Formats: sequence, structure tokens, C-alpha cells
Amino acid sequence: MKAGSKSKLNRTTTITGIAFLIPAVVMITFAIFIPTIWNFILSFQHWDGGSNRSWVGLDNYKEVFADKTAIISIKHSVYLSVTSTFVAVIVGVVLAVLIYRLGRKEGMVYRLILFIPSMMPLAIIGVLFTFIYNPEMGLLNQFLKLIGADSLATAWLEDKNTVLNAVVFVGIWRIAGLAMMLCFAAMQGIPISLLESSRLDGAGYFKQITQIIIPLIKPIVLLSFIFTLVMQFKTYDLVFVLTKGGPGNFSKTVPLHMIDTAFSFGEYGQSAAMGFLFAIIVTFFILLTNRLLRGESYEY
Amino acid sequence: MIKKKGFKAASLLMLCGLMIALSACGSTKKNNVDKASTSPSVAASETPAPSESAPVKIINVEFYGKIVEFSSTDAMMAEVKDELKDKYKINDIQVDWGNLEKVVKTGIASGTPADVYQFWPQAMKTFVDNGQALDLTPYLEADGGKWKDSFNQTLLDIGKYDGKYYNVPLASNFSLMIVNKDLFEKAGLTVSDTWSWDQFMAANQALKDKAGTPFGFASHGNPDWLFRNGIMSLAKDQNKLEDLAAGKIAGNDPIYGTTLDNIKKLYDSQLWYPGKGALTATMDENKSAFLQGKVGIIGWVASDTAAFLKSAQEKGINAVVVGWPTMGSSDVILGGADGLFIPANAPHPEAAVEVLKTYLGDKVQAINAAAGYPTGNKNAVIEDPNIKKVVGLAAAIFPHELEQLSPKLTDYVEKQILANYVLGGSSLKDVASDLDKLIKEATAAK
Repeated sequence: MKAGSKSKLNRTTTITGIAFLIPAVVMITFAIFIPTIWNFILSFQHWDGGSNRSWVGLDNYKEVFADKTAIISIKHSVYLSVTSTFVAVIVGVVLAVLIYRLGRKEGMVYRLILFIPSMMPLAIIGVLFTFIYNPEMGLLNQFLKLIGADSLATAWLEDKNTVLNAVVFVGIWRIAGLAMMLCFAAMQGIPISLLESSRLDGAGYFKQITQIIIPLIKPIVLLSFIFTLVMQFKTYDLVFVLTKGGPGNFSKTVPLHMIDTAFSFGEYGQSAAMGFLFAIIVTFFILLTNRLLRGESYEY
Repeated sequence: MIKKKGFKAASLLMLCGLMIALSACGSTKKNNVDKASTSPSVAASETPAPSESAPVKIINVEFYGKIVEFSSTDAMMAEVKDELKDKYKINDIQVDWGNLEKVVKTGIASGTPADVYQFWPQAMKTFVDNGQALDLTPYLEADGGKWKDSFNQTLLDIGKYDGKYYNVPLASNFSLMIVNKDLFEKAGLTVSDTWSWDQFMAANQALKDKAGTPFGFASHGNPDWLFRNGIMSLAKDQNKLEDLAAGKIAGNDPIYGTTLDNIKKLYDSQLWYPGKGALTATMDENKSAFLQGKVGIIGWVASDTAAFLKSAQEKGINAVVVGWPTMGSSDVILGGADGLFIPANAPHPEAAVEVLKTYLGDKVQAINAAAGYPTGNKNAVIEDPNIKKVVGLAAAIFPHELEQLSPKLTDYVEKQILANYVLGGSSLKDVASDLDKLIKEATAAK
């Protein structure tokens, strides 16, 4: 091929490629970049939802730090996200290694059953668990009464000491199946010869898990952690359906408080500042997770 | 070089794409603004006159006021649509009570609100202060005040701010209680229209002890009504009702402490359904408890009394309406009315007014009254004796409340104060301090 026609082909390919990118760029710009920049600008303004806006410097940020509910919401969001992510991914990995040993058909059935919670709409999960947690006729309290543990029965979504953990449990139940599926898919890529040769060397399944499987799927485990962490930090609908952030502020999370601050209290600037600070916190936890799980990756 | 040129061309293309998309977005908004800013009367005059060749332009009216809890809603909306079918296509949207304030504020802030919103006239101050509600006074007073005269004046005045009307009433709405008369008789209790807090507590205990109900009382799903009614009653005893609403009573005043202690006692004594979980029980759970005979008393809402009594009757329960128990010696009830308003930036204000006039007019509200609702339209005839009693109880309504001072105060009073004190272990001092801070913030902002 001549140099001229080659460069013409390159140019055509580049232009076509960029042209195909345009719709995606436009969408991303409108859906992510413009709202993010607008949110950042708004965080330095006072706006009540009407037409008048004024610049207030860092006042919105100061108000966020002075707002007791905002601080409580941040603590709840961090606790809810970190705890449910940590437990859900561990449970997901354990389930994946257990299912890996099963035959094709039974493995498929278990995978389907365990993955169903991840496919269910959050609103339905919320309603389902409000029935389970119902203090009078809920499954959980009925079960406790059945086994004679009446004293443990409580109003799970009203008690200050249990409400947040009740939400965390639902978060784990919902997401563990997804982590299991990701890890299981990664395990499918491990050459069977590696496991067979290790067995010949006398390694049992537990040793194979710790010495071969986990190190090889570590990048996917990391991905699961980050993916789950981001999902849990963003959770709005699950908490809303289960508790609406209550009673009081006992289970209020940042997304719920942001909505209240903007649309109930009419303080859009303060809500934007809270959102920006929250984005920094989420980024910090993502970087921390990345650093903690960073290590060698193996090619096979 | 060629690559660079190609890149430049592609970048230019992308920029053009973005500009087109941006201008498209801008033009959509501009169109909306133009539509909104165009006087509807001008728009109407621009509408081609009906002729064989030019069909009449039908205006789409967004009506955010379909109350599915009212059994009369479908019939009322059908009548309104039928009466106005030649001029308007009315899209009736179901009211989401739990998120109503957010829905309305988001709609107004977005620049594309509904033409009519359901909202409580007693809680309109934020919208009025921000210039977000249309002044309905000229429409009410037109034709010698014909439209104004069709309303119950007390209810209409609830939506009056600084001498102007911003909200028109659909039905009176306030807190009341419904009791199971058979269970009361079994417990040796007599039903009276009004009662004190002590009588209420004694009745709860008697129901549990003598009538064998697991609990005495179920709330409507709004436990804050106990607090709000309690402080109003105690404030009225001291002739401080106006001061309370104006935020002139400090957070450490015994009015608040006494009320909170009374409610905590009710919760701790396990008389309040379902014991643990009483503060978070939903309206449906509470209603079921009453209909299953687990309680003998339920807090309810005036506008939905007819439907509730019908449900009770179907279950063979002899239920009657009584007033809210008073913590002080004075009879005063929180509440006001369910009403409707038109946002200042509504796309079709004139059409919205006409729809409101039809919806709240004699013919449509006769349907509402026949279904047993205490209408704001004074010409609608109410036959049901229980609903007549509801109308009588409305005389004790005082529509101005402390929580109306600011949205933060509303949130604190409705969602936090009871949870913090009854469940969270906060001391009276802590609660008083939080309340006082919010009252001061709200009054300073005025």
C-alpha cells in the first residue's frame, strides 16, 4: 500500500472513530460533566430554588460542618457503605469458591438463586424487608419467638441500636450475589491444569483457594470492592423505602439529607456543598481500597 | 500534519455537535419560558376562532390533585373533564402525600410546574414569601365575589396571607379520633365528643384491662400529631396560642416538656400499638390494628373519615368520631384544610383558574359531599351524621403552628423530636436546646 493511501485511510478511520464518539461525548457531557461543574459552582452560592442567586464564598461548606445532621449522615453513610461492602465481598468470594466445586447444573441453580437479590428492584427489596422486620408480625420476630428467644425480638427499624445494622444486612444480602458472580466469572478463566498440577503436588481445595484461586482473581476482587463501595455510598432508595432515614436521624444517610436540604429546606447551595464533600469522601475510600488491595497480579 | 488536520476537523465537528445540543436544550427552555410568560388571556385571544376549517385549540392542563384516598375522586375528575372537554385536556396526577412538598418545590424550581397543585393552605407561607404562588384574590372577587361566596369563609381564610388569597380549600382537614364503641362499652367506658389527656390514658388502660385488646391506641402513622396537638392545647390554656405559632415561646418552656413526658408515658406503658415500633408503624398497619380489634382508639384525619367508617362498618365495627384529647383544659385542634393553589410560573394560569372553579364548584363538590367528605364548598349538602360531627369539630381548628415557621422546624417537629426523646434517650434539656435553636433561627430569618 502506498504511503499516501495509508495516511488517507488513517485519517478516515480517525474521523469516523471520533464521529462515532460524538453521541457518547455529548451524553457524558450533559449527564456528568455539566451537572458536576454546575454543582461545584452552586456550592459557593445561596439559592432557594427561585430566581435569585448570590455568591456566598465558603459559607455553605461552613454550614455543612456546623450541621449536626450532616455530620451524622456522613458517619452513617460511611458505616453503611464500608461495612456492607466488606462483608458482601467476603461473602461473595466464599460463595464463589463453594459453587466452583459444584457440578455444572447444581452450580447454575445456586448461582441463579444467589444472584436473584441483585436483580431485584431496590423498592421491592425494601418492602420485602419491612415485612421481615415488622415488630408485630414480621418473620424475624416470629422466628425468634418460635425458638424461645422472645427477649431478642425488637422493633428492628425503630430501635436506635439496630436500625442501621438492619439496613446494612439488607445491603449485604442484595450485593453479595453480584460479588459472587464477578468472582465466579473470574475463576472460570483459571486454567484447569494449574489446579490439577497443584492437586498432584498434594494441595487440598483450601490450599488451592488460598494459594492459587484468590491470588489469581485478586484484580476482580478489587473491582468488586470498588464497584460495591460506590454503589453502597450512592444508596438512596433502599434506605428511603426501609426507614426514610428515621426514626429521627437514626439511619439518615448523605443522599437523603442532601435531598431534604435542597428540596425541603430550600438550601440548594448547602446541599451542593454537601454533595461535593461527599464526593471527596467517596474518592478517599476508593483510593484507600485500591491501595490496601494493591499487589502483584499474575498472568496465566 | 494530515493527522493534526483530521483531529482539528473532528474536534470542530464535536464542538458543533455540543453547540447544537446545547442550543437545542436552551431553545426548549426558552420555549417553555415564552409559553409561561405569555399571558393566557393573550394566548386565548390568539387561539383561532372556532370554525369549520380551524379546530379549537385544546390546552393541556396538568392537575396535580388526584387524591386516590378519596372515594369520590374518580367521579369528580370525570365530571370536571367532561365539563371542560371542549377547552382543556386535563391530566390528573395522583398526589404523593409523603413527598408533596418536594414534588411541588422541584416542579416550581424546574420552571415547568403543574398548572395546579394540591397543598395545605395553612402551609403556604414559604411559597407566598418566595413569590411562587399566584394571587387568587382577583379571581375570587370577580363578578361581585361570586366564587369567594361559594366557600366556607373560615376555611378560605386559612389560605389568606397579607390580605391576599393564595390557596382555595377542597375540604376541611384536621386530626380527630375514631373509637370502637362496642369495645368502649365492654370496657365500661362512655363515648363523649371531647376528652382530656387523662381520660384518654385511662380509656387506653381500661381497653387493655377490661376489653382485652392488646393495646389501647393506634396513631394514624403521624405520631407527631400527639406532640403538635399537645403543645397547642397547653399554650391555649395560657392564652399563648398566637405566641406559640409566632415562635415567641422558648424551647425550654414547660409546654414542650410536659407534652413530651405525656407521650413518652403513653409509649412506655405499652398502650400504644404495637408497643415497640409505635413511632414507625405505618397508616395501613394502624388501620389494620383497629379493624382487627387490637385497639379501641385510632388517630385519624377528618377528610378521610367517611372512607374509614365505611371500612369499619364492613367489618361489623360500630365506630364513632370523637375529638382529639386535650392535654390542657382547652379544646384546640391542629390542622386546617386540604386545598389547591396555582404556581406563579404555571404554564396556563387562566386555564388553571377555570379548572379550579369547576373542580371546587357546587356541581362537582356535591359529589364529594355525597361521598361523605367535609367540603370547603359551603353549598354542598352533607347528610352523614358522623361527617356533620366532623364539621362541628372543625370549629376548634387553629391553623397556625410553630412548625410553620421554617421547613427545618417542620422537619424537627414532625420527624425528630419524638424519636430523639422517646427512643433516642435525649434529655429534655438537649431536646429543648435543639428546639430553641431552630425557633431562634426561624424567627431571625423573618
